[in-house]
Order: sequence, then structure tokens, then C-alpha cells
Amino acid sequence: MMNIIRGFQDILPENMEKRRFCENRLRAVFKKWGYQEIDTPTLEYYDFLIQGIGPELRERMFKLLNADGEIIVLRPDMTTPIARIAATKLGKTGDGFHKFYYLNHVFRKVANNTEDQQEFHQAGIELLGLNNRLADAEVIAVAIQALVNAGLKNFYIDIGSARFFNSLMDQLPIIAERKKTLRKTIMNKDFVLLEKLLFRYDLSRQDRETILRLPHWRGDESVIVEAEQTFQQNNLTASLALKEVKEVYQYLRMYGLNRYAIIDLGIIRNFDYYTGIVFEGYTGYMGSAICGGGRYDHLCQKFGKDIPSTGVAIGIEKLVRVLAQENQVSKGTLNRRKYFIRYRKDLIQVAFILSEQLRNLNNIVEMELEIERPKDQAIQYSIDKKIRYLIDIQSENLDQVTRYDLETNKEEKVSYGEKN
Amino acid sequence: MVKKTEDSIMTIALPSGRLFQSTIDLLKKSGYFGLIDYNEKTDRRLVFYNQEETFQFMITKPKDNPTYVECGVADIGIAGKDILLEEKKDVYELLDLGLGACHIVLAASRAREDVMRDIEQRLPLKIATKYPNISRNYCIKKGINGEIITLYGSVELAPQVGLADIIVDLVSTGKTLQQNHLRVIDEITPISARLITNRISYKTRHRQVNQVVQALKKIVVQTNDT
Repeated sequence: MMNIIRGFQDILPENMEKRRFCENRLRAVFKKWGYQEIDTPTLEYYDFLIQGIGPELRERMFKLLNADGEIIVLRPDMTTPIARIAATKLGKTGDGFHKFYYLNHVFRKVANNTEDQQEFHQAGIELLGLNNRLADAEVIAVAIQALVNAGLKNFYIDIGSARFFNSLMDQLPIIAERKKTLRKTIMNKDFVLLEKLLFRYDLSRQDRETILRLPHWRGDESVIVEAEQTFQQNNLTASLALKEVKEVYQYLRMYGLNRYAIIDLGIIRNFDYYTGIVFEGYTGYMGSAICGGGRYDHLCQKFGKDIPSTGVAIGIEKLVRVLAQENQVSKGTLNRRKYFIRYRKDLIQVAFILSEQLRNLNNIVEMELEIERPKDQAIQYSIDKKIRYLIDIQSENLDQVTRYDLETNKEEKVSYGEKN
Repeated sequence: MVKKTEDSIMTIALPSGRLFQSTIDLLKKSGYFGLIDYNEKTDRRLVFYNQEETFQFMITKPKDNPTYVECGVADIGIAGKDILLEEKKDVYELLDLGLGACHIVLAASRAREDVMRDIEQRLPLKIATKYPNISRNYCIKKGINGEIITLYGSVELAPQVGLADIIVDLVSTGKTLQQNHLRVIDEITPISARLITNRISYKTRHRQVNQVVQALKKIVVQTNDT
């Protein structure tokens, strides 16, 4: 019988340790850049939250009824609740900016049968109150540093622009309804239908090629140079958007992080939601992005206040999986800060004192709880728990304590007497 | 999972069954994939290479094909539009290969007018199908008061024995429908095989993916002309 709900997981210690390792490494970077942790309720009012949530995510929310018959939802992302907080609880616009980070779980119904997961852990930052390229670049830089600190080696961040894409769409000489169909087709990544539509709508050869060639605009700064030559004459907004991408890339170069960055003008994200720079990170190990984000200047406004914002979210489960494939997560060497203490039955108080003494020195110390368990079993238990040192107390005298190093299989006499 | 870079070889997922032989023929005809030596009748390998070892091929159940592509274990796949419509995978559709062309239709054993009258009067209709999602969307679009019964195959049986009033199914020649006393009430959508890729292969191996598209595009157009 299934005893837990589909798409939700029990996480046992071994995997939990891997997840916490990642989370701690990401958190450390967020904090170093001055981002402050924020939390929001797991449950929110449906009517309120959907003001800021697009149709795709809206369908994937878990909806419930509370005792008063109101519809409530499990939060499907962290960005929307944070935008709600920014718009309703923080100072007026022009009061400077806010830097938040979060490490939390979000809930989404499975989109298809490939991904059997409905509870996701996300780490991310939001930078609210600024609309400049330095802010855009900082968010990308923090994302890169966080992934590097977690131990990820082979990854890239593709940087594009929703504004660029939107300006190309705006410029097409067709009615709004048809533009909507084109956008939807591109969002669905159906290039077969897209090509047909471009002909059916009687677009000029140049317009058709511009749209179909979008994925070709990918690489380093030379892509921008090429694109600028194409668009500076006939599309002012597009060339402004290109300047923005270039500026962000240049900041990343100054940070010394441009080796992780790739310009990709064909990037497809939710362009109804994002308004400026967009980006996503990927590795060679996975068919989908490991992190993503961008500028969403209109979201806070939907909750009552106009606050330009940008942010990134990193998928923890994906990161853990990729790190395991890259073999970056600690591979089971014994931890030299872990101790196991055996003792003769009548010396239990000596063992208590020594273990507390070792804990005070920042070690992880386990007492034998199964009194008089054979030593070989105690050793096996220790190795299973990645404990490096086993201490065996056979006398009251702490000056000459037997300590086994389970990594090297050596026995030594160590003094834990008062002089320490 | 193997790590994919620009240097490692391209992996292509092929659908077994109905589309397999015509897909192999298409790949051979394009001349782009080198020497492919695979005999459908005698070979039992699920993974094989072209002789130059520049492409790796894997054979999947047609319905699973987009899954292998979506997860990134295959760079390119070939999947029927019916499966793509039904499963809503996160894949890029690159090219209409024109193979296995047919339609998804609404069919019934009763006269067209009778069925249409039932639909207009919003009478409840039991619909047998292998495509519950496509059927549901169609019902919403046409305002049909449909109750969907999902089957795994031989859908034509359902109306004959009273399990369903109408069916939504794939039809190519119409012979099976005819022999089971069913007629087409409405053509829901045309179907053919599509060349698909995932978003990461589409980015990181864009040049190679595009070369495959161009190589196949040439002969697909030719095939349509003749």
C-alpha cells in the first residue's frame, strides 16, 4: 500500500545530509553578499496570491478549503509571496532596496509523468527596489558563486532578455490576437507550428528569419555585436535591450565570472512575467535548468506597489542529484571530528565527562548506549556512521586513553587529562 | 547518465513499432547518419551505433520516446504528434517528418446527425479512447458532455459492445473503423511524426541539432513533393 502521498518524499539521514550540505553552502554565499533570510506562510489565500501568479503555475497549485470555506493554496513559489510582502509590509518606493534570501519548500502538482515530484526545495534570492544592470548582474553573480560554493563545476548561466523578445513581437505587423498565438507557440517550443504560422500570417522573409534564427544568437559578446548590427536600424527597444545584456555581461567579466556566462538571445522563459534580463543555469547532466530567474518589474504592482525587482531560484533536489553525478558530495571518508566512546560499565561517569569535554571542542561525540556491546560491533557501527575515532575507556585515568583511528586502523594512547 | 558535451556523440531515440522502419529508411536516405546496420527482424539490440560511431541510437516504445528526450538521455527523438499532444512533455518540436500521417478523429456507430443532436442537447456521451487528455480538451472546446473511459487499445470494440457511445482514436486508412461499423463524425487533428529535442541539447549542441534538422528537412520536402 502507498503510505505517503505521490510526489512527496521521506528523506533519510544520508540524503538529508547531502541536502543540508548543499543548502548550507548556498546559504553561506547569500549571507556573505548581505542577503537576509525571509520566510512566508506555507498556506496563502488563493484569491490574493493568484493576482501575481501566471496561468501555468495557477493550474499546478494545491488548493484546499479552510474551516471558513475560503480557498487556500500551498505556495507554488517563494517569489510571489515575497513580492506580496514587499508591496504590503515594507516602506514606500524610493526607500532604498531590500535583499532577501530564502531556503524553503514549495508545492506544485506534477506537470507530466517524467517528474514525479510535488514538493520541491528551493534556495534563492530576491533583490527588490532597484532597476539597474548592476542589480541584475549581482543576482547572477551570487547565483554563480553559490553554485560554485556548493561544489558544482561544469555549469553555465545563459543570459537573455525578455525585453528583447517582447520588442521583436511588438514590432511584427500583425494583429494582437496573432501575436498572442505566436507567443504561445514559442512558449510551447513547437517550431513546426511556428514556421507554418509565420507563413500563414504573411510575414516578410526578414521577420520570419529573425524569429526562427533566435536560437542562433548564443555565445560570447560577439553575439551582441552581431545582433546590434541587425537591430540598431529598425528596432530601438531591441537595441536598448541588447545594451542591457551587454552591460550585465561586462559586469560579470569584472567580477571574473564571465567564464560561467553565455549570452543566449533565444532563451525561452515566461515572457509574460519577466520584463528585462532573464537567465537560467544548466549542466551537461540534466535535460532541464538547475536554476533560473530574472527581472520581474510588474509583479509587486499586482499587490499594490510598484517595486522593480530581480531574483533567482535554485532547485535543491536537482543540485543534489547533479552533484552526486559529478561526485562532489563527500564520498564517505570518515569524519575526523566524529568520536565514539566505549567504556567499562563502572566507568560510565568518566565517559560522560570525556564526551562533554570533546563536544566542547566542537566534535560530534556518540556515547555507547548498548552497554557491553562487543568491540567489533561498536567499530562497525562507527564506520557506518562515518565516525573516525573510537575511544575505549578502561581506567579512570584520562592521561592514557586508548584511541583507535578507524581510517588508518592504528591504536594510540592519548591524554585527555587535566593539563588539556 | 552520461555527460553530454559538444564533443561527445549525438544520441538519437527511435520509436519501435509502426514508425521504426520508415524512420530508419529516412535516416539512411538523408545520408547524414553514415552506415546504419540494423535489421528489425533479427536484431534485438536496444542500443546501437552507426558504423562510424558518430551517432548512438536507442529504441524506445513510441510513447516513451519524449520521456528519454525530455530527461536529456537522448539529444533527439522521433515522436508522434498524438503522444506530444497527450503527454505535454517539455520538448522542442523541430521538424514535421511527415511519417505515419493520420488523424485523430471522433467516430461513432450511429449516424452523424444523431450524434450531433446528442452533442447539441448536451446529453452525456461515453467516450472510449487511448487519449484521455486530448479527448477532454476536445470536449471542453466543443461543449460535449463527455465521460471519458481510458483504454489501452482496440478502442473500436467499445461502442460495439456498449462500453461507450463514441470513440476518439487514431485513424489512417479507415479500414478498421469500417469493419467495426464505425464512421468518422469529426476530424480532431492531423497527426504525423515529429523530430524533437530537449532544451539543453537544443542550446549546447545547437549546431549539431540544426545540421540534423537541415539534413532531414531536405528529404522530407522531397518526399512530400513526390
